[in-house]
Amino acid sequence: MKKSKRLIAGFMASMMAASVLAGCSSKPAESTQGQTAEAPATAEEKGEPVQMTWLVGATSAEVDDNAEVVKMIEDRFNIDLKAWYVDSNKYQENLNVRFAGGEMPDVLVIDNLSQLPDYVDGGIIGELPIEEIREKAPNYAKIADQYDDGSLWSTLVYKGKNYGVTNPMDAVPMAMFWRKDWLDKLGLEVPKTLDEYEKVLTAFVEQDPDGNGKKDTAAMAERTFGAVFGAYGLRCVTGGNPRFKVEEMQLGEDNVPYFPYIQPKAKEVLAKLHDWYTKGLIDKEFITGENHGGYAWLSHSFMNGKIGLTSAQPYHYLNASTDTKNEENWGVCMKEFKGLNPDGDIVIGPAPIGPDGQSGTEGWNLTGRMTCLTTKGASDPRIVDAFLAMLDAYYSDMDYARLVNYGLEGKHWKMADLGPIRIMEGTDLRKEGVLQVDFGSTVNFAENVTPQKRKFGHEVTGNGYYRFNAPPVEEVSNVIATLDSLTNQAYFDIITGAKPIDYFDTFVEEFKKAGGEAAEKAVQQAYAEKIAAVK
Amino acid sequence: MTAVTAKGKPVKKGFLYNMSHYKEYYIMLIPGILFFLVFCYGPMYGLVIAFQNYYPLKGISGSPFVGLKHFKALFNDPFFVSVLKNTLIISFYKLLICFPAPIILSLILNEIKCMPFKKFAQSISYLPHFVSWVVVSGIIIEFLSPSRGPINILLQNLGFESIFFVAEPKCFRGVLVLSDLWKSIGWGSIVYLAAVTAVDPTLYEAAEMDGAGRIKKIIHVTLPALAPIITVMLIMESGKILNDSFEQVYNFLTPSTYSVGDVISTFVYRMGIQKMQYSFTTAVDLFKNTISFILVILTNYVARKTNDYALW
Repeated sequence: MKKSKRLIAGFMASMMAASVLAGCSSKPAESTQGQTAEAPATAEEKGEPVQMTWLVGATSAEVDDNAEVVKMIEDRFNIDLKAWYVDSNKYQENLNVRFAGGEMPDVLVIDNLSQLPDYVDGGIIGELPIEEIREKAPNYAKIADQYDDGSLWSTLVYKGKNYGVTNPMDAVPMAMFWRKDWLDKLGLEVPKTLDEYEKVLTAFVEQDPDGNGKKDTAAMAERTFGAVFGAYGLRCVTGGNPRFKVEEMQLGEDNVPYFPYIQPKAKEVLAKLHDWYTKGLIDKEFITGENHGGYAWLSHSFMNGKIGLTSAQPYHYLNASTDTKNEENWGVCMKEFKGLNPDGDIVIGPAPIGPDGQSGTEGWNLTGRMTCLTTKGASDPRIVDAFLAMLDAYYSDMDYARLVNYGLEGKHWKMADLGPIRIMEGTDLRKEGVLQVDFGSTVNFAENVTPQKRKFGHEVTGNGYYRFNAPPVEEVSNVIATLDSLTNQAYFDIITGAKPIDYFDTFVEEFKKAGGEAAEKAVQQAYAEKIAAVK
Repeated sequence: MTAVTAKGKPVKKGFLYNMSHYKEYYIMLIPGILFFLVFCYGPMYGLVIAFQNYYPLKGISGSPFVGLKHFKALFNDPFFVSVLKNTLIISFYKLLICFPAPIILSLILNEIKCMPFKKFAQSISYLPHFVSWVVVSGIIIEFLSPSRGPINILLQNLGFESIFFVAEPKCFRGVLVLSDLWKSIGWGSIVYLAAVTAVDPTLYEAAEMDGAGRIKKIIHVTLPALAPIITVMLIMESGKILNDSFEQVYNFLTPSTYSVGDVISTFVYRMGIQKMQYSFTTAVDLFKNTISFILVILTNYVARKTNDYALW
């Protein structure tokens, strides 16, 4: 199996090499022309359009080269835009085969920072100096500075050099969704503190909220763990397959990253969770997860009335307001929920406040959509200029940002009371060239294009423990699988009572000994170096 | 290559005579040999990357050599022994139960005289093969759920405690083996059914004349006719002992069952999440394939010692 894969790779690589050679005859002519007709800073100056290929990630369809949106972008920046398409099924494999064949796009979006060293050392991603970004994309730089969480400019720094741009994102923490009909039936208010949470959750178990006369309800499952950890100041992420994601570290207030799962406070959280598990507040089946397949953010346990509390992004359930009657406001999960429970209702409550007054839930990256130039793209100054002009336009011209993200009004989206709504989605939208050269839901985009959604998202959530872009170091990647096994075994065993609470201390010792301590130090050092490199 | 055995009469002829005499066959062999040379033996030089820090763009010649680093990382890992043990135990159970099962099923199907029913049963039995593990695991997890699954509802009604099969370390391997059995039994029986239909009907008639009943006919006619194919299949299976089924295990595995269910492929997958570790994964594969190779040779040796049917 492995053999045949490798041979296909080899075969395809040689094919790619052949096609690259064939393509060479036209390319050098173009780029030399580009260099002689070198425009100082603006891409507006007319000349042969520069060919630019862009890979945004795993998408569902190939972009139509003659689509209206593509033409509009091409005219504006005097480029000949070609979207790279890599089949999203086995995306990484297919992409690596193309790289191995020496073929690469000019612009490449990476979704995982840990890929950066390999791409840089492997000669795929090229340098993009920060001074050049600041000079040629001043509007981007202004907003980036304004929303810099302390790590923004250093995110893509590797061995002292910068490789690409990252964007200040409008990250919203997870919201807590309650069964409103259950609360109403038992005459309970949405709880605020951890103790109040416990009272309501106990009522969900003891007082038959679904009114079927049987004591067959639990109160919560693994997606609420994050909020409980949050009440003790810790960041906790449980994935689609329930698992504590050890590879996601937490960034402390002093800007020093650490593993949250070995902090002394984590023992208190585990004691609390074990207590709740024994009392039946936590669904026994949290081990196999709230989601039983299909769209990852659906919580089947919640929809089927097994539990009365879950956690997700606000927009998963409600688009832009707390109004649950308005069907236009329903997100994917709400539609499914209503399909199963036409009379059911939900309400968003605050994350629980812990004994020391802390609270919060998991949030995704504050900086994201890491967009890099490949060595091929970075070697052509016209491509660099065009790329930075496109970046700057996304931050300075909201009509352009709306065009590349939402498309054309009337054709791809329409205006509703709660903000723009897409009327074309998925494959069709991709073919039209929308969502191809955008930079995602950046802070300024969310503020100007989808203000209602942004306002709502932040109103219903509190403090966020945002994802930390850990600098990739060998000390982590060599032991992460071991640390993962150790942590998850220990955590699940302690919560379910297979091991006593005090086993936590043994676990922490083992974790440190298995390379966890060295890994943590290495990340701290690498991160400090990165920060120092941009100062 | 000298002896061509035809019904006990050894014919000793020279290799060249052999070649010219059977030249059509040799010519027909050429594409096959070329295929293996170009696509299987040629790419083997790529195993070199197991001893390098490999970067695709730099290629094999440009990537630095690191010697046995990746093998050391693999063997030094505290979980390696338990992962290897789990792989072996699960594969052994599967071999023990999932290997004979299709043979038995094909024997049973062969005895069915009602053709429409036989066809129906056969189709139903191999349908699960076409459903992916993601879906099958979802179905089985629901089926075994302590609160919603029919099995546990039955257990509860009979007065037993409900069992969380998928999360209970004691039951986990059983779930893996039985779900694999359910999924693979029908598909696996096809090859045996084909062999069964090739049995000369006169043998059955002769056995009947001698007064053999159904069971006797199975034992003395059908099974011996199946022996060569069973041996070949067994040798092939033995090579797969270390090649655990990633799709299956990954979809069933939860942290509560890591201790009994974490196998090489799921472990490597977690390792690989962090990095494009071409070299490390090649090292693991090389290790696995070396063991598999030894196992195939051993099984073949034993097969040749104990009966006449072996791969070579």
